[in-house]
Amino acid sequence: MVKLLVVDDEVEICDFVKNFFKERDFEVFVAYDGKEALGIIEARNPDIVLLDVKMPEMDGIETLKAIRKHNSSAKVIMVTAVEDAEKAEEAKSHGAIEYITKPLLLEQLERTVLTVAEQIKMER
Amino acid sequence: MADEGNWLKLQDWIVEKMKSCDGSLIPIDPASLPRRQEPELDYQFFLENASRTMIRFKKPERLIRMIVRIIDEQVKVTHTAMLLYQKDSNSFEILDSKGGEGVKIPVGFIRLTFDNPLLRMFNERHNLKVSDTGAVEYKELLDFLNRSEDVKEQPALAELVELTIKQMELLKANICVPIYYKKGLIGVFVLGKKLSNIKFSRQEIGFFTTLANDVAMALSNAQLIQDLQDKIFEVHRLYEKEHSIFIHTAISLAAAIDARDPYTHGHTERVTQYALSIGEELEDVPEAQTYRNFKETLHISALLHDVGKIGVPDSILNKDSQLTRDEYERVKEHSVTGAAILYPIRELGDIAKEVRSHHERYDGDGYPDKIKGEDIPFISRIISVADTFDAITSDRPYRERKPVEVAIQIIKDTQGRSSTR
Repeated sequence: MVKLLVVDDEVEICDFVKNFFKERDFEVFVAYDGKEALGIIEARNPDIVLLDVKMPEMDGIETLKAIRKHNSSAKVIMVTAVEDAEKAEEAKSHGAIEYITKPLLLEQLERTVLTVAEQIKMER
Repeated sequence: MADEGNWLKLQDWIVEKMKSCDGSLIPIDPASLPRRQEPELDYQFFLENASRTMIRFKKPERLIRMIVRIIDEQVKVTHTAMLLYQKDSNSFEILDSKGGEGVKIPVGFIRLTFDNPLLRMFNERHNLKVSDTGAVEYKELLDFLNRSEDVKEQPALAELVELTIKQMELLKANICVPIYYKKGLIGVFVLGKKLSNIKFSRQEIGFFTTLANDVAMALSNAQLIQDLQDKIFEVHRLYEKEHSIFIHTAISLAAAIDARDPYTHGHTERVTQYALSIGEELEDVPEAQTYRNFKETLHISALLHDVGKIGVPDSILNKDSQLTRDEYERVKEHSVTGAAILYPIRELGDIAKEVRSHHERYDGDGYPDKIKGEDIPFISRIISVADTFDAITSDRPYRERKPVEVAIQIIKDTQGRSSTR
């Protein structure tokens, strides 16, 4: 089972995305901020991280940098608001493999995560 | 800023108009309706009644939130969401949603673009080929695909149905109800499963359609009101702009007149100030009420009261000794000249009259028309007092200024003769 970590400070979004991917056979963890995310990465070693850019205190970019320092092999997909498009590019330069803009297309969220999951399964 | 009170009145007027055109908009008194016996239909009555009265909601967003809440509370479904077209993103976004943990679609999280099969289903009216209610039900779509002759006859539709099924699965939707406005799709109600797991009845679907129509109506009302409000605001803004240009032109003109007369320098400005101060005290008296816009008329009349001095030669205006009788007669012409200058400007209305009479006296001994008492326009009387006050309290070539108290005493002493009572 592919392990997915959802990082977003909005509880409802976490709940929805968690439920959405559980139904698509993922093992899903949730973190409401960057620090919590790093803890889960350390303990659970997720394969994919769905990371919201806009978060209080430690934002998505800072979290991404910290994940990279951690030597984690997790593939990071950024979720950004439309108005933060340049942040997405910045995230890519720090090793994010993909980004999705919010409000997002559900089929795009599904396709993006499933495609990355397929790659991970192939690499195994 | 547009006058909020006015536009609320306007809104009420629109609602009244609509009521008289379409009886369905009249809020219903629940007592007047026959009691429904079936307890399971209670919420339908609730929805029907609420939807009719809610047309009056000032903000359609509030109506939408209320509808979503009612459906959530009364119909008891896993989740409800209201997708509404957003101009900015040219897509449909969730304006409000309710539902259980993890099933509720968070507001602002997703969007649907026009190529979305569910939206195409409604926008291109394929929904009517699948369902006669106009709403799209998950089960009906599956049934359609199971009818092999339908699929064979309409392969393109079958493909769209298949994609729509997938889309409804993404949204965990059991039934979707379109909201049309002016024949275009503007929104979609998304409803999950009933918690009781019972199929939605035709009646229930009918009510959702009614609610959808109400939303469309509320949105169109709001749009109408917004358009009108924008128009009122624009007219108001243009008026303010024009008015400001006008006042500034009057001020410039007044300054030009003042500049010609070194001895009365600043006279117009001071008289205007005094006249406005007097006007402030008198704005509630009946005479002031006879003007359409008392303060404004007073302001402009005061600014332009000496505009006729343009016609008085410099040699007279600049003379540093007493004027001869002929010279004085020339100076006296300025009130008639001023009125003649202002008369052709239609927007100025009564101002020409006010300027003409600002040297009349209460006892009829003034000029140019020797009118007396209350026949002298009210504003002319105010300007006259302000004018006298300034003449006494400022230096002239042939005499020094007098203190304010003296000026007040003189004006009081001449009450009923040179000045107003």
